[in-house]
Amino acid sequence: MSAPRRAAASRSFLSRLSLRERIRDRDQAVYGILIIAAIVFPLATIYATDGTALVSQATRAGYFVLLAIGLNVVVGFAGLLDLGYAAFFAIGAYTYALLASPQLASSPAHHAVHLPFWLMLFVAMFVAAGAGAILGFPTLRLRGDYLAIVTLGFGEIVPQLFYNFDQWTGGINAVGIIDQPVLPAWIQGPWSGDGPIQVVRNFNFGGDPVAFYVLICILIAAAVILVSNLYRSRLGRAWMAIREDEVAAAAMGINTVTTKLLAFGIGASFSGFAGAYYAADVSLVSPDNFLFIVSITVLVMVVLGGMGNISGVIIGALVLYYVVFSLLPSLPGAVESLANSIGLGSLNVRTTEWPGLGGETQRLTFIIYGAILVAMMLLRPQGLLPSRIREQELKHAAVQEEEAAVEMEHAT
Amino acid sequence: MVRARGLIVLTTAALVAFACGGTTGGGGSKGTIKIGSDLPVCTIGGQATANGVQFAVNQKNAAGGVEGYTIAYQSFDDCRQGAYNADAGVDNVRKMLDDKAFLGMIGPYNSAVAKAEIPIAAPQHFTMISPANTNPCLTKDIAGCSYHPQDLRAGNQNNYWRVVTTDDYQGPAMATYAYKTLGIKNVGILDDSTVFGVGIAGSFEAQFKSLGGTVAKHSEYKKEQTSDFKSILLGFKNAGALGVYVGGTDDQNICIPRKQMKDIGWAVPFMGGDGIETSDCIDQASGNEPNIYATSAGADATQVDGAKQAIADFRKAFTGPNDFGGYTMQAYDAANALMAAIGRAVKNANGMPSREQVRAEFAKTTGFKGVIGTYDFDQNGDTSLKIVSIYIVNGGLSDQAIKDSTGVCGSKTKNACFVWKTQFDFAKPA
Amino acid sequence: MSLPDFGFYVLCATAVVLLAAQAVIHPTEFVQVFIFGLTQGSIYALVALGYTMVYGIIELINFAHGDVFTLGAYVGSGILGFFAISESGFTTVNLIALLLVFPAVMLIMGGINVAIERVAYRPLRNAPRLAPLITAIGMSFFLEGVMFLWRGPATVHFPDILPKTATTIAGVFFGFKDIFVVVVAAILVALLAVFINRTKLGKAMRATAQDRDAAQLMGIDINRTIAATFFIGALLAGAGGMIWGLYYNTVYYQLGFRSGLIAFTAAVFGGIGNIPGAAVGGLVIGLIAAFSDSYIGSKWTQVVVFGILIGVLVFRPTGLLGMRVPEK
Repeated sequence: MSAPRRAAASRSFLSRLSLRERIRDRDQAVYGILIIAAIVFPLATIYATDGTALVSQATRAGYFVLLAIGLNVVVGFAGLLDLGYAAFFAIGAYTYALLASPQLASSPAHHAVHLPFWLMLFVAMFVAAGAGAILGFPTLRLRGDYLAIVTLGFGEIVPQLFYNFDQWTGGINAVGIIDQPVLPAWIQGPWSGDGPIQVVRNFNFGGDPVAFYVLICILIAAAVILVSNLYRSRLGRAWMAIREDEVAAAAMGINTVTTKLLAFGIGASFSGFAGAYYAADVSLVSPDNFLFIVSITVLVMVVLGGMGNISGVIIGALVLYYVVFSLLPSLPGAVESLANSIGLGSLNVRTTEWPGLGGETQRLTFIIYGAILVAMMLLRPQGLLPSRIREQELKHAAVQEEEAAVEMEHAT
Repeated sequence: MVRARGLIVLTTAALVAFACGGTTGGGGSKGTIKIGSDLPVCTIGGQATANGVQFAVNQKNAAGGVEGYTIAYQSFDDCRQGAYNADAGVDNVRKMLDDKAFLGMIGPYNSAVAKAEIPIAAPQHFTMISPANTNPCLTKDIAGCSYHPQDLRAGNQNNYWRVVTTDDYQGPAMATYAYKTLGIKNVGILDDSTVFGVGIAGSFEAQFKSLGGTVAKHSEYKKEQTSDFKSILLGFKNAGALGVYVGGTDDQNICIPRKQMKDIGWAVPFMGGDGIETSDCIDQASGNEPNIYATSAGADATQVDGAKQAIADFRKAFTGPNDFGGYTMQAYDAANALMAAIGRAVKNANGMPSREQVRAEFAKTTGFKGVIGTYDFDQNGDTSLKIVSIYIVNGGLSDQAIKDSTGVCGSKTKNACFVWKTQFDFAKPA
Repeated sequence: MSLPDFGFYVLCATAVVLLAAQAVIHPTEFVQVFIFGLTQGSIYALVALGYTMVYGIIELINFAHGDVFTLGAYVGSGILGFFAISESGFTTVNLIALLLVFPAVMLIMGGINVAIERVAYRPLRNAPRLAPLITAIGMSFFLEGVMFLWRGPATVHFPDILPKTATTIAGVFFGFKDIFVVVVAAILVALLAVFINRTKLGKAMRATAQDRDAAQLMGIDINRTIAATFFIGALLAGAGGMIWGLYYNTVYYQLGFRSGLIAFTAAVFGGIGNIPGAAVGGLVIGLIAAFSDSYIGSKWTQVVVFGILIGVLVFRPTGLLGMRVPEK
């Protein structure tokens, strides 16, 4: 009962904030908030914590955002369910890791390769897109969820292959000591070296989270611009047509196989992009980092944020990243110290029967995560910020009702 | 919006943590020094290891702390979604580096995590002492490693030590024991596809072959993919294996094959590293426990003065069935060695020492008397203690024998326990 | 014969020839591995049936189904703890406990699955197609969390209460347990087939799967029919969990996620929505896994299983026995 009313209230707040521009400019508002947040976040956290751990976490959230934007092209725009998206992520990461680390020196090739990061970003992108095309070509004519199963199978096979060919990839021992991105020396300015702002030290990223943070922000911005333009292009409309009704789309003269293949390839290329970035940032690439759970997490981000809507997907990725990688892991400690501070410290004492409040919370995290997912989907089945077109289709009547409510509030 | 709300929660939690750190640190002490641990506490082994650190810190604080400073211990979890994760480990190390009060850490548990963490901690001279990393490549520049240890440290002085002997001792010890003492000339090898499992199985295989033995087959599995090992075991049996060596840990179900050996009517010895010297392993093997052979890095408590007392004290403080694990005492030693170094650094600095001072002091550690033996560290970060003990599961032990046993027992079958058999000392020339 | 069909038959023929060669060279080993594959495949088949039924009726990949299966083993192990069972031999108490606990676990799992459907899927029946998929993932984590909270992260022992009789015939080793698994699974599948084809509710389920709106117009209570589908799927999953426990005697909380994935793969393999297909798919996947473990090497098993799956779908887009194409 209260859900629509609450939505109406927040909407009225939003519309006042953006001076009655209404929902039409919701995306702009979200992007504006995101840009401001992206600039304020590092400054605020570095000032507040006197360290860069939170910025480093934000860079991690960043590559999930990239992955979610890419998967959104496949799932949200073209309506193809991809359950093996992490495979392309793995392909991108390994492409950079193998060609920019000492790894190949101990392989049958006997020569380490060190190609520059900026080149490899694009190479990884094309390799992943190529893999997407190779997988997609024979399988995209499959209907419905059969495609999902093919991608699932692909997602299972790829990490296992990286594991099995251990002569080349080091197998489970992972590829380590991956080269850091180095800025060309001609990019001089106050942001580099010993300059006053000093964002990038000595032209070498050298594990500096702030440098990676700036890089991922630029990459995300580029991805958003690219995907938004694609969405508004002829291709974007073709994707939408296929999503809504494949037979009708084909009848309208759309080449469904090519169109789907493009969605698949473009989606995969973002994953490859993110993979190369990831390999440079973490400097360690192991087959264990690309399991099914990663594909699932990214898919949840896309659906949770609002399929088909880029700004929604970004919000979804950030929210879910925060829940899974920051909130849940820190919950036991937080609960423990909360109990201490309100005088229930005795709950923290471990006994044979009771693992301590922190331990108990630790055991509860799976349940909490599951409950959060179910609750979020039940409350907002269309996602946090659904695509406007879809929203209008699905909730035409409801929107009218809400708008009426907004008008009423304005009138009073 | 949700993100902002989250930040507030996070900040509140941090503030609360600070506040309580302050209250426990009171009582006339000079201040608080923090040490952290980075372990996969979502797993049984990880939590049991963290218990060792907690116990050492509790003991130290009860005895007045380190040179007047109270030690605050914070356990960081490098699990993500149920399994260890190098990203999470890196995040945890960055969190510790951000807080100036952290002077050192115990961990990590998994060698892959260490590989990602050392490059971040080394430039800040942050002391890392692992109670459980056994991959030789982290400290030794040897053939077969895909990187050099000096690259990991990026030109900085060594900041990483470990109190356990590396896989290249545990595997060979069992290989020698199997070949020479048990007279097994042909084995099947199974590893669990983890860094630890692959490494220890590889070192076993190399030594076993160099002694003249035959490896019938080397198979690998992944926990989430394989539940039925009978086809793999049958492959070993048909290839003429007279024993099975497993590289892996109980949390990867490494001892379920032991049970299934009975299901296919195959009775030969079952051998492995310290990953199977656990009660969970005995439970997994339920119905076929006897003749499991396990190595353990370090000397048995009965062979070291005072160790038995420390273990008994630990068991009194931590009474849960899974509280004590294969690396608990290693973590206890690591924490004590770190606190000893911090103590020396405090004395030298006459106040709160810097991270570099702690690191330099730790590098000077000599003749450390721990529960697993008395040892030094070499310049690479490896322990001088190269003792490997061998344990065997005996079924049907008497109550007194169980009480005296230093090895762990099963929780289902109470009278099946690991019993110390012999030890190999690789520090002494054979 | 079309090109894809040709490719499919070539694929099948190659596999058969390779296996036949092995069967001739090492007949004992072949039969032995076949038995291993059959037992594991039987359990996959039971779980796959639940996936295929749910998918057939509401087009949902029910990720929580594998966890319902695992929970079945957990609940079974918990209830068996109340009986004075003997693990060293087969006693009358064991038999009574088994006869009581087995159906009890099936019914409990059925009830839990109906509750899950009511809470997590029914409210989303008209929501975007992927919304229930996410709640299914959420329920999967939730159930894993419940098992984790209940028994911790370690492997849980399941009482070994079946007779341990085992024998060797012509070098092939097999026991009572192997026969038990295959026979019980076969009986359950047969019962299900009778139920689906002969009863009114079964007919309603088939009708709803074919066209929900038309079925509703014909006076079928859709909610009741879907709930019944979840109930029956979970009966089989619960039975699968019990059989798993009785056969392997160990279970851990994350078992279902991956086993479920394999079982779902089996369902697709046989042609999703197709009930005999799911049973055949389960057996085939079990056999492929066993043969791959033994002949190719266990680290390739995953690649082989999913490689064959992709191959089959490329050449035969509706699965092995795919008679019905699920249209959206």
